[in-house]
Amino acid sequence: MKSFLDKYNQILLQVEKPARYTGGEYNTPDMLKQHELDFCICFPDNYEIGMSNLGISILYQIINARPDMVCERCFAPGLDLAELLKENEIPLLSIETCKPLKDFDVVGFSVGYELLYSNILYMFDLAGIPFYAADRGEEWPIMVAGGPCTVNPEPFKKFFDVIEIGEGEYMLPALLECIKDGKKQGLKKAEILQKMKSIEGVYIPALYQSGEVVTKAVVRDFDDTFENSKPLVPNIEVVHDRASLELYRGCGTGCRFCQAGFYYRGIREKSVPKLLHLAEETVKNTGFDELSLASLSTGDYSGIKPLVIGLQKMAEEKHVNLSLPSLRLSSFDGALALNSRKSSLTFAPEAGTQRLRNVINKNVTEEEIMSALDAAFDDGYTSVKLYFMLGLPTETDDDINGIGDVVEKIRRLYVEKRHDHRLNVSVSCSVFIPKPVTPFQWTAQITMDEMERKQTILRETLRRMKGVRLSWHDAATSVIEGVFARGDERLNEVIVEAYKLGAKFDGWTEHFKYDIWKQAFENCGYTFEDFNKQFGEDDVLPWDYIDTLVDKKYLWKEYQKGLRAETTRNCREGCNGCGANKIVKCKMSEADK
Amino acid sequence: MITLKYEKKYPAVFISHIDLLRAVVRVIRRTGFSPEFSKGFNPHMLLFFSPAIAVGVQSECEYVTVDINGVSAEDFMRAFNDSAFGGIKATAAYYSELSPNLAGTIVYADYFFPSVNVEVTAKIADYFKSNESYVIDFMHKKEKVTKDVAPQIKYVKSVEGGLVFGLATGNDNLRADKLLPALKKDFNLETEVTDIIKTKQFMSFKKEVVEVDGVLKAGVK
Repeated sequence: MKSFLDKYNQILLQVEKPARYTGGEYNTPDMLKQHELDFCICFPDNYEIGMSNLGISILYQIINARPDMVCERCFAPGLDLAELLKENEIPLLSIETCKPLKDFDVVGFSVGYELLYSNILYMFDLAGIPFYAADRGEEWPIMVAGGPCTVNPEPFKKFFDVIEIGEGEYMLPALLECIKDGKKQGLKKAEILQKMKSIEGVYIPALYQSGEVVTKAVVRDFDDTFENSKPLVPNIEVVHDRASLELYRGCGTGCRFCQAGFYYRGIREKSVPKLLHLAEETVKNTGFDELSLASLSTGDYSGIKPLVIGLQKMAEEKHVNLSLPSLRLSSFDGALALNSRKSSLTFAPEAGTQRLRNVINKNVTEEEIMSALDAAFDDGYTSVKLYFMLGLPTETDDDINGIGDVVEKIRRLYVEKRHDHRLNVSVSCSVFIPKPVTPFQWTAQITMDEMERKQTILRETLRRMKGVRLSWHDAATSVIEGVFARGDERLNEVIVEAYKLGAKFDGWTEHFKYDIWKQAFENCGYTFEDFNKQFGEDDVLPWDYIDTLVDKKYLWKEYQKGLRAETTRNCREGCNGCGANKIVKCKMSEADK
Repeated sequence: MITLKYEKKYPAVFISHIDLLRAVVRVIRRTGFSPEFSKGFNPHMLLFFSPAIAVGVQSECEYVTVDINGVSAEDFMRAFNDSAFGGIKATAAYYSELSPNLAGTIVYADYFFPSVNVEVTAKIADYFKSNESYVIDFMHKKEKVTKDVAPQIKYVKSVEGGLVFGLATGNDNLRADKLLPALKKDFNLETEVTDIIKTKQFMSFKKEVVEVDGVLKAGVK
């Protein structure tokens, strides 16, 4: 008789990229050790995306470093495997030991993007786990959600027993410890959840009482936190197929549209010596031939120059490619020359005019971009990538035309320097989506018709420019993302309805079906406009019970300044009093002092 | 040059050849030893692999030649195994002055198809002894192909616990996973793709066809 695993292996041979599901990556910890609690960390997208997620990588290592726990992984299986699993009545399995998800003590989902919500249910369904927490008794694992989207957990809160708000390095182990102890003592699920409530950042939807505030969990000393130097090394090509060096958490630039910039405050830097050590260790432990500097605004890292000089030496010796921030390239001695492949430079002005850049507080000027490009063109670069957004608050058609002006100036600069027309400019234009805990959280998103009209203007503006390629985000997906970003608890049933109608992998253009979502909203008796609306200063926002440390009054003040096109200085130039300092002190590295 | 002979077993059997190339480069980088890199516009590690094996089929005899100096074959193999990922393990290491060019010279390989059903294995072995043709259907690049594959089958031997097929590699090859469905259909063979093990590879060397290990042991000059 064939074993269960034999059957699974034969199924895997029928699907695309079976190595997505079989593990065996270098640095995989011992999964067979004696343990008291098993945890499966899930990501509701495929292996290639999930394995590129820094949060998953860090938490996986932290939990597996504990002697009493194991952490396995599960990513959303491709549609081909999902079909075969159902056909063969095999439930969704973990990668490491092929254990059914429903047999774990705890199952955690990292939720990083609104269009992944349907895939949470896709994985629940394949695992045979009931969607609603209220329908799950003692026999089911405790289901946990974490990740950036938990800043507004309302749209999906009914699916989970526990929701983690903030950074997971200390919160997740504390939470798992609590579950482990509770199980040892023979406590019921409700009793364990009750005990968990006191952990910083933990939100238990079923036990929430009106007026309570959940304060996000935050790593106080980032320089002395867990070292992410032994990540798993994927055996197949993944999206972020390189080593990552996280220079700091938080961001001081204060771009008013940026959720991460406000959510992860305050600024906490690792020191240059620590980063150089980490870089060397990570490259040694993984064999990656590329190292990227991963932070919200890498160029702002206070020790960027000594760090890059130190990394350059290591990169040359070990044949490692360094990914450096484009805007600051010109200030690094020899950094341009370092990249022998002369790959493209990337800038994110986000808006086409200085006025609109002031509105969004994107403190990058045209002069800074031109100055960086001036040196880069001298050095032989022939390709530039530019990121913009459409539909920003107060945007006019002049601002959209301004994008064309920026592109034209770059083209002219290239011709002046190089006397030829070989420059490639890639313009990527997304649609602005107002996000919770940002100064623009009160703003309504523009309508789909307006999105399409603005995209047409931009297409016409850039159409006649040789060597310019425009790509843009689909308006329909932007609408759904906007609705879920600022939506409320009524959306739980809409997600269930959409999943039943066939929604899954909505982040993938080829799988996203706008009509399904439209139908799901209609079936539940809602419209998109019920959720995508302009809020007033005194309105209670669905996520108001979450304290991200940044004061709501500060955000409102920033919103008003934005409408007046007034900028706010970078926090690194002096504290702006956002409130984050009340728990976590902003800390620059030694190099800054 | 150092040529490593390595196993590719579960879970590495599910890694495609193209992904394996990248993964082995990382294994070698982790050893801490520095092989030669190409001198071109986009420098890459100088590695030479034996021909690709089908996804799902196990192997005890894959080879990779590394252009490296300053380390003994044994030390390099030890470091390789310390740095290898699940399912990959070097079992022998050979030093040579030149690359054995295994990709271009391997002509066939032995594949062990395990089966406990003696009647079935005897029936299959008998068939290939007494027939000069074996026409099968298989999919190639999403198209159905009907082909007489007997010329690509060097021999079929009945051994303890199963059958050994000598199957052609190179340009006119026969993949074990393509042959298997026909054997299952025609003879009720109960083997699965993941049960098949490639056990030996044979190369054309100085006008003779010999086992790869023999040539490597002698050192390629």
